[in-house]
Amino acid sequence: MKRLFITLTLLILASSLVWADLSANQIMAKVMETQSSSSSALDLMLTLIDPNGQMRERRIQTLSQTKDGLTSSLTIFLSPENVRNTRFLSLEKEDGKSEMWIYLPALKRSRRIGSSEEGGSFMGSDFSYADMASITYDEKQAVHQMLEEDATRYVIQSIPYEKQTYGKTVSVVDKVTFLPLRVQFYDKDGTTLLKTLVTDQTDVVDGKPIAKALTMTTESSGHATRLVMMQTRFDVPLNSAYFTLKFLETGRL
Amino acid sequence: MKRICLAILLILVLLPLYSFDFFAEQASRTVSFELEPTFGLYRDKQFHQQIDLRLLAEYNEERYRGLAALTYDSAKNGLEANELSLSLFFGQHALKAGLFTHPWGSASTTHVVDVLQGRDLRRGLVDDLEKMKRPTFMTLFTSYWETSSLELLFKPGFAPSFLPTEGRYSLIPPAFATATITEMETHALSAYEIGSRYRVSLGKLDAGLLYFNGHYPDPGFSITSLAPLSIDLIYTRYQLFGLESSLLLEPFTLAFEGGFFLSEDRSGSESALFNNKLAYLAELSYTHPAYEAFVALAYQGRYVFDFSTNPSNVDFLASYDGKAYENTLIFVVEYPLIHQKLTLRGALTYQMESEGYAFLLGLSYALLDNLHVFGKATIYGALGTKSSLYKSWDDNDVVMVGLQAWF
Repeated sequence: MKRLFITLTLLILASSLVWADLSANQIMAKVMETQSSSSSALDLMLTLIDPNGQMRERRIQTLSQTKDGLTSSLTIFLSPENVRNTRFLSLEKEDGKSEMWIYLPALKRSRRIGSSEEGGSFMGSDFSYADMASITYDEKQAVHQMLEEDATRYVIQSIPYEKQTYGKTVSVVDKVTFLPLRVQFYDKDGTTLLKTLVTDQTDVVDGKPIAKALTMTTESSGHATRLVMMQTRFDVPLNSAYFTLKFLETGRL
Repeated sequence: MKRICLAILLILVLLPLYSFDFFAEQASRTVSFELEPTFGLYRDKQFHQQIDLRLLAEYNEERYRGLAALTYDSAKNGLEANELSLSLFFGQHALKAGLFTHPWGSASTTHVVDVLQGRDLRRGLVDDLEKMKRPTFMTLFTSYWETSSLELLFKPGFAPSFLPTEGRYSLIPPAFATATITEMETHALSAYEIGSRYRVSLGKLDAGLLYFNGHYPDPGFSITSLAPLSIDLIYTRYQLFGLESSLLLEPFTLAFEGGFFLSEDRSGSESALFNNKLAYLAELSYTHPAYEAFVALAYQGRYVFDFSTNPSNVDFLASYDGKAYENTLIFVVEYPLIHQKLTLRGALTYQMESEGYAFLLGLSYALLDNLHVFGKATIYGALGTKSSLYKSWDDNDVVMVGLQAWF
């Protein structure tokens, strides 16, 4: 038992030394790596919280798959009733941009969405479409700079090369799990704080650390959205037919 | 009421209903109701009240889906089916049959090639294009490929437009109110309709080619006897060769629809039949990236070939200001506010030849996810004295309040 304790202590110390040498770029790459998987299926509950505390809930399921470095994702709205069966498809193209469509059951039509709409609110929540895809940037998307570091966390500033949605983010990253514990999103001017994301609860699924509950707050209004992962599956085989216009329009493989 | 209760009971008991759930190992069930009481006050000070109760029931298995959408209308004390359909899915194909509507066209505000079903004008112009359609029986086969799809459809007959013959939205001349009307058989194989649509996505362009062989859902007529007045309603068969397209030019979308309607009366000599015509539509829409505000401006036009100014010719009767051509502008805005709790919608239609207009304004507020209250105003009129549908409905200006509850 004593030997095991010493070994563990040494291992932790050694790993701390290794991580201490990581650059901001490497840390953010690790953050992205931690969050990524070849495929995932998520069952999510979005709770929209008014500043006065009134809550509204939306349940969605998101399937995503990465093949040859290109990510496809499909989001299906399960509730409330007036948006049930709304489906959202995003296909990443080789130029790095995504083609996006939304199917609106009330209109029985699918409509193409421009990537400039990525900054728009996702289902009236405080998350944008872009936030739903990723809340951090990798080393190819932004210039990263270490602002602070202590025994348990890194604080890293990221300034994206293409300021499509935000001008700057400041992420607090857990040193052990590499999960973002807190992310502040700034306007394109880089100084106005727009939103703050806080990881409320973490979990480990199949050995993979995940942020199980997150809250995004819009600073100007005080409106917040809590996102809870109710069920998760990672690296599961997903039929490619989910990520097609056929599934978007019919809801069937 | 008895009928609606029976229908609801049957659906509840017989169908295990469910909706998509990736995590569910077995089918989950969904039956939903929508209650919409509405109270309104017309310009002529008549009060209006109506309660709609809608039932939506879905039955899904891996390879098929059954869908029933029924509406009970308290004003008519009647039950109507909005959709009764069964869909089969196999490989890259889907087969859907039953009573339903199927949209054609690429624009967002209005369409000129959305021809598969007739119009429902029993409530005048409303702010939902789908609610102004009359469902019809059809079989639709769709094959999908990676970036394209092909639809083939067959209709064993057709459902003509719901054109009110009485009441405030009546479009029938008063002289015809007492006429004996004989209508051609519309639900017979002889009145079949067929169509196909091929759609393809090419980069930021979505385009479709359309063909349809069917009937104008609005009737022409011939007078068979003057005293007493007897009228035969006749539906013109035509072929549509059309196209639809939309091009994403971020943050704008440019849509175009157009088609040539080749009438069975190719020479335009029959006054009871509609002539050949061209119809076209161009729409520029804009969605604000952050606020999701949607704004669209559309131009819709029509040109009738071999146009006759004979007052009994159906093309003349259906025209605006007795012109062979028609030009209409439509402006639409939708603005969701307070995280989609409050939605403002507005639409203005201006028909240039008749100088007629319709203005629709709506405001809805989500008290809860499943409980919305709304206020709506509809104003019809004309800048001048020329007659048109807009002028005829001048007294139908209305302010309405109501709520929608889903459970």
